[in-house]
Amino acid sequence: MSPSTSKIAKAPANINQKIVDLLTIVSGAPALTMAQNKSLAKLYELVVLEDALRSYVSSTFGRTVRAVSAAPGVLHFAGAPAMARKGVHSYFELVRDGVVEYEAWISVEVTTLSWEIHGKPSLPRAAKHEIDVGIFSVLDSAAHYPSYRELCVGYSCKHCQVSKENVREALGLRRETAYLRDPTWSKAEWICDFVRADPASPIILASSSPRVLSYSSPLEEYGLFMEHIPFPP
Amino acid sequence: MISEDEMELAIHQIAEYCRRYEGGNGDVILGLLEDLNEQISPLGREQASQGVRETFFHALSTLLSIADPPGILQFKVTLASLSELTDSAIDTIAFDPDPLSGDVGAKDWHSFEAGLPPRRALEDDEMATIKYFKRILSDEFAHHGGQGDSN
Repeated sequence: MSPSTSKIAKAPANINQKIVDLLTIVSGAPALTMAQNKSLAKLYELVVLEDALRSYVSSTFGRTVRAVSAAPGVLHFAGAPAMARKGVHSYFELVRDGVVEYEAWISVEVTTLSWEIHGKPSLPRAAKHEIDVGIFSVLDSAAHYPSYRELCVGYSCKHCQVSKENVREALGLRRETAYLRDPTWSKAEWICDFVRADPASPIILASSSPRVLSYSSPLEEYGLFMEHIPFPP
Repeated sequence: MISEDEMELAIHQIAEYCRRYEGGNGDVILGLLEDLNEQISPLGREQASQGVRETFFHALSTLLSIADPPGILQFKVTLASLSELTDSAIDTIAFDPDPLSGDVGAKDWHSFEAGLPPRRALEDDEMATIKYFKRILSDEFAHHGGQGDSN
């Protein structure tokens, strides 16, 4: 690309100096510890959760969200992939006109399509996968791993530069949570009308890097969507 | 408004910096350099679908996440937002210890806030620089509704 004088004339004259200033600040930035990076990854999941809940509430009049927690004022989540444990871990009820339609959970593992096809023998590691932020149909009170059939929207959250590897991982999650089918009414109509999957649950790869959007096409055909959720928002 | 020519110059400048960088954020910088190389190598530009604009904002986003990582302040903002959304008073958030990180048994669950990075002490002019680029980023996302141009 050859520099265009007219374009440069419109740009701030000091932009290159400002880039140098930013790089100087980066040079002096301490590296975060592994624990801090892990905490930030969890915080990003909370940001995605908040975004998902707000998207539900703002889609149609009469939709609200309420937090369900054992201890008042404290949201208590699993720190690693876990069962859905009501009474232990906090979750959110997504309510429409007073009726609970869905529940939102963090770090719950779902049992997979391949496990179902295989006849549901004992539950090995590969038969369940973590959904960083999941919106489910209303779950049983007893602690359990929900089935992929109970999943309505699954978010995989990446506070990092998204790579092809992350996209392949999300494709694996897509494969294990639905059959590929003709477009069907979405289980989360506030996100999209149709999903080419059965069950028609959208899977979303959410990233703090805008680069994630470059992977959008053609994966939407499988009901796998890319979303850039800035962090900090 | 920054022109695409300015963005392209900035991409080259940032790539040069990444090549010379020696510091504790090496993995992130190396990853950024790989992404930038896609854009600036003649062969890559023929093949890459990403444009200058997207590459520039990606680089900016990465650099800002190192220069001023989200931390306790962001946690408070998220907490307030969840409280407002659920119409309830949420005072704090806790996660179970992760068995993989070896902190099992320390407590049943621990305060999440304590594990976040503290706010860096930055000079006024440094904060001004960070705010300048954050504003450019947020304007970009507001104009494009969070959808970057990938073509």
